[in-house]
Amino acid sequence: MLGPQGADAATDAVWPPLTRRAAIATGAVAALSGLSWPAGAQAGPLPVSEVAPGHFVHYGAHQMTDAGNAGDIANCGFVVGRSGVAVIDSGGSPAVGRRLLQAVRRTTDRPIRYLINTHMHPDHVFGNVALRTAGDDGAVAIVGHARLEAALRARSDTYLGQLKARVGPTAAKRARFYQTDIAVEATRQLDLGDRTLELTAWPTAHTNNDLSVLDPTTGTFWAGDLVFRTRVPAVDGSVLGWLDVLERLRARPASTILPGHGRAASSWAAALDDQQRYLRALVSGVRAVLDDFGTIEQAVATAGRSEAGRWALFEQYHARNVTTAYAELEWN
Amino acid sequence: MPGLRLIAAAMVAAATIALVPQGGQAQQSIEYNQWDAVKPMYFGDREIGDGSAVLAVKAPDRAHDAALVPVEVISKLGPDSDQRIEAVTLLVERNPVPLAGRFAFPSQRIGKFSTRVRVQSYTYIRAIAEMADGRLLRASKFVKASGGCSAPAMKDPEEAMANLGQIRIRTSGDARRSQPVTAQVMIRHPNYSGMQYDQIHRSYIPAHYVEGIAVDYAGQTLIRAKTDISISENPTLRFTFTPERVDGFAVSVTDSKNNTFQQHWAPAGGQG
Ligand SMILES: [Zn+2]
Repeated sequence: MLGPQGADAATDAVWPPLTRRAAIATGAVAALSGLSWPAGAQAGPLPVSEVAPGHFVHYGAHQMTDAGNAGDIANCGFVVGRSGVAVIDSGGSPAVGRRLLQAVRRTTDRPIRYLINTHMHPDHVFGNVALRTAGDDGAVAIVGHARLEAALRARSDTYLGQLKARVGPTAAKRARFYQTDIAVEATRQLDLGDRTLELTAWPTAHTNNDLSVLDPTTGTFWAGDLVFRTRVPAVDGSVLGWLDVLERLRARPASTILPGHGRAASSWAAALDDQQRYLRALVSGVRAVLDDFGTIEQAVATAGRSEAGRWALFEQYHARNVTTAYAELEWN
Repeated sequence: MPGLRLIAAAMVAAATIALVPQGGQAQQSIEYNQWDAVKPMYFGDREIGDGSAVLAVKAPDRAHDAALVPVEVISKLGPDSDQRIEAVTLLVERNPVPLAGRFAFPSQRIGKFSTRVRVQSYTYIRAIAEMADGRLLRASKFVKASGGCSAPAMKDPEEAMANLGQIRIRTSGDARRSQPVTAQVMIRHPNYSGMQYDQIHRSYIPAHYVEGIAVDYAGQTLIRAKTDISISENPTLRFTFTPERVDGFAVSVTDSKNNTFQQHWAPAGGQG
């Protein structure tokens, strides 16, 4: 089992050294970038685009996490306000988190105030260690759904084992889990000086700890994995709850919607129509099997197959989504 | 009991330490075979024969979700066979606690039954039938899956605890005298395995799981199951039997915290 090894890995790692923290403060990050970090395609600041004034997003690849992409498979980014920066998600490994930090530093010298985790998934939180230690101790507050910390506690060991197996032992050794400094029960505002971010904690949908970020001054909505585009949605909470939340999202004023996976959308219809069609096909396909007293295997063979070919990584996730939906819908 | 569990886990760990996956499916199956290490834990030195003429195990070759792997045990004995399966022990051979459950059928034949198990690593799933004549017979299925035991038990733990102990019983159609019918018993329970290590608080999430399920039909015990942490969250039992008369079910479930949950189910048309 992974437990004891994971604990050892977490206690004997010495990264990040104090010298690195001092180096960041003096802006000398680039000089250290080759220091025991992977070079080549995985080195250097993450490419980001400014999709709205002050909003910088990095698009992750539509791939499974492996050593080649180091977990750079989900979107992450940051919002630059007058008084500081809020980073939104941190990538799928410490190395990706560090490259995100470099992207922040290349964009602005304002301090990072907040690290917002949109939910528990490893491709969104394993870069936390790089961002969390970027300022003085305690200067970067981790912000999440009120249920984020418990969700991570229940999965930390599994996630660490997966990181080790898929990205490598060094990544697993550097990775850290953190308590949530600012836990959002329902809504919360974060003041960045020239703008105030509005955070919303949602009922169980993609996961049981989905948090969205809206900047009303620019109409930019960071949806986290409540919204998937191009990459097939992964159900790890409640498919029925997710469909409910998507309807509620449509009522939010937003002109730029940033999914957790896939490109920015300029309307809710563009952001949500495909995903709602997929989730509804999943529900109706599984219900048909359940009504017939069918099994999980029968559901996997038939439910939602009309969606094949419409999504990246469909075959990698769909059967699991069907299994998850079956387990939920047989009770609901 | 905790001591026994630790020993079992340690034995499996020791037995698997030298494993190197290689070659094709057949080669892998041989590499992952831990029968010689696991069998004595449950059956001592008793002889176990080839059960392929008596029963079969069905499971997906590769699991879609390692925490929720459907497993079906099918009896190949016809209604008029002079052989009878009295109980089936289901083992997920390379799990930390290999025993998924022992399912006894004290009153009548069960044509087939299925449940869902957690699978920690590539493994054989074994079904060992205890025959009325005293023989032990084995059937097997190799399954590719990993991470199911330490997987978080619940996607929504608050909802899980709010619904703890709910039991639902349903059947494939109206039960008819002397006609096979399939029934499913569903239990809401997180079945926490105790294997999930919390990296933030440096402790294990405590185990809390279903230990016993008794299914009665027409006043007779149809299935008496003793279960362990290899059974998935929200345990279910689906089984096919041939009722001698139309009657109701009574289900009783106990868990590792000494909770007891009960449920009755009567057929729509009343008894007869
Ligand atoms: Zn996610």
